[in-house]
Amino acid sequence: MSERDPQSAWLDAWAATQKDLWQRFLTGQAPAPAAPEAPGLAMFNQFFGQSLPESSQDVTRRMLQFGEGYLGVAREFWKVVEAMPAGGADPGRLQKEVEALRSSFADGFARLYGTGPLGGDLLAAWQRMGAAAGGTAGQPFSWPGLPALGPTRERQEAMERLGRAALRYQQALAGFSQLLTRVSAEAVERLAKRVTRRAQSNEPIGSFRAMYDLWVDSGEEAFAAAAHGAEFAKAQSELNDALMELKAEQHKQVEDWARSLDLPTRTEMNTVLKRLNTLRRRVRELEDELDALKQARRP
Amino acid sequence: MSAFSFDGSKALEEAAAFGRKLADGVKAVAAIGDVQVGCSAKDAVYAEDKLTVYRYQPLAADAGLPPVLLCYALVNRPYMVDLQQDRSLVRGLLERGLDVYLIDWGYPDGADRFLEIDDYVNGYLDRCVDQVRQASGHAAINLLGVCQGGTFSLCYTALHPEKVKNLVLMVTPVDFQTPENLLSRWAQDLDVDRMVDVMGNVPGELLNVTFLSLMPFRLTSQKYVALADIIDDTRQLENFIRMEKWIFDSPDQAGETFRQFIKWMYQENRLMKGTLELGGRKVDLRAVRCPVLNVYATQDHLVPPSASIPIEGRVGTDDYQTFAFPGGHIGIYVSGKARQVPKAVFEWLDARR
Repeated sequence: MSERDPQSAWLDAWAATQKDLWQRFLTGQAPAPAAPEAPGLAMFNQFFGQSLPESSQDVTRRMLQFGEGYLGVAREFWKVVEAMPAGGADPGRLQKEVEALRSSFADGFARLYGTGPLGGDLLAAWQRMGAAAGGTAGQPFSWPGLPALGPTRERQEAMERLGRAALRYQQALAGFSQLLTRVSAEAVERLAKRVTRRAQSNEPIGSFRAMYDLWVDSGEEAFAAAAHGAEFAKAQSELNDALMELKAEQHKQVEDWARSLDLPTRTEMNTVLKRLNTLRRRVRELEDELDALKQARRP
Repeated sequence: MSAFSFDGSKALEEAAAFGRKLADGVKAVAAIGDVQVGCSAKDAVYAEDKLTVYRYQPLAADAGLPPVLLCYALVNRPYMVDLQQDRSLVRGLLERGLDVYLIDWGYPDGADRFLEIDDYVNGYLDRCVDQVRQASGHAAINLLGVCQGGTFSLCYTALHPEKVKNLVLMVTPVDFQTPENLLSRWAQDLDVDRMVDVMGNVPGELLNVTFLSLMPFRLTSQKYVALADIIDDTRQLENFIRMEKWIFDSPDQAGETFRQFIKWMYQENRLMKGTLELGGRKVDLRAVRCPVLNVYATQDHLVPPSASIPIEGRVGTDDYQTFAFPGGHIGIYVSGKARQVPKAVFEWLDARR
């Protein structure tokens, strides 16, 4: 890639802007933003992402996404450092630092990561699957609880069921998201304890990276504690069940529509596939029996 | 007492250096281009439905041992065992004169949703074994099962003991309900019947996210930040991209097989309880009387050692050996220490020729 390559030029400009941004934070010319502040990266992906080699596209996207997250952590950390008065004679300094850290990170991390690193992948995956099932979200349906009447009663009931399933799914998604938010909060608490221990052992944190690694350790520990618990497993399975109920209701409606147009349905396909599998197994058994008979007849 | 020893100039230096590295890293990744996975030359020798059996071309004089058939898991792609020249289990075996075959299960689609474990074990795997037996002229071959493929291989050996001379299991679960098994914890509450009834095949993306969420901070955020440390090393960067390609190359899972695997293994622990039946026959692990080498990884977070170690008490052989690899579920193939594995496997097989 030559220096005149537009991708390179863009990235060089971005790195220079980052440096300038930090220079201004540190000299007090600009406040550190609480949220990610480098739209250039998102734009890079938008403009150049597709032109990258296939196996590089995803790596690049993730590098930029998490690199920006890292710089966001660095900004939160710097705000804490910057807020502390110079000199170390204050006996309550450590407590103030930890309080500032707790406050800045609890708030800042929620904005940086949403519900933590999981927010980017796990919830998005659930939402993508939910989006596929929610194709009828824009269509009107009867309100749950109101009696269905008249010649379209069955249709109304089906739409009611779909509405209830969509509601359950949204509630389950919100519940799971809240649980992940609590994990993020617990991560900050664990981070505060780690930072305190480091100070008490006379090992103060001397770099953004050291701080970031401590946060990762804290986050992983908090997540593991939650993930092994009954509440997490229950929330996850409720989300799964709710999504499956929603998909099942939508499936029924799509099949009704397909049948009305005499189009093949998944249910019919499944019947054919099951019969085919049974036939294949039966043919294999017969072939095996035939082979055994041939073997027995050999002199 | 202060928690931080940090000043403005250090902060600026570090932030600017990271920004620079990130930009350079993106350039370097783009410049590498498409990476190749699977380094050893091989020929397709058998194909059926979506699966293909490959035979690797030799790299050394024939050691005179029965061929080795690698049975990989249905989850993820089998090129992990031959990712690149200096990180290849297959190559390590070929260099020692072994005749190596590999089952590539392919990518199941909607037509495969009713395939059952029985179809994989007593159907596909049995026919692959027969092909290798026929091609090599050996009545019994060496079977090497990896992860879920190891569980299948274990069941297969119990049901067809006459066709397996030696059984090698790598990171293979047999006890699916040990306390440290987080996947198992999550699987217990899963309504897998409803899931499979509704979805048919289970999307690879869902499994992938589930695996990543076992250690979300390290496996998502931290490893990409750490990438900044290796951007000047093209070789390491290529390795990273290959691994990424493998991690996110996740086939969908045939619905019925997924249903049975979750219910029978994770929820009911049938292999441990001796209650598993395939094709109308009980899978009695005591029928595994051939020599067994159990290779597990001491830091495996997907198949914890506690899930693999109990194989010893279940199989009927009196020639059982373990190899505890100091690493994780993936490191066993691609870490610097991974070279130990083909050496150990070869030496063990060579002693049982």
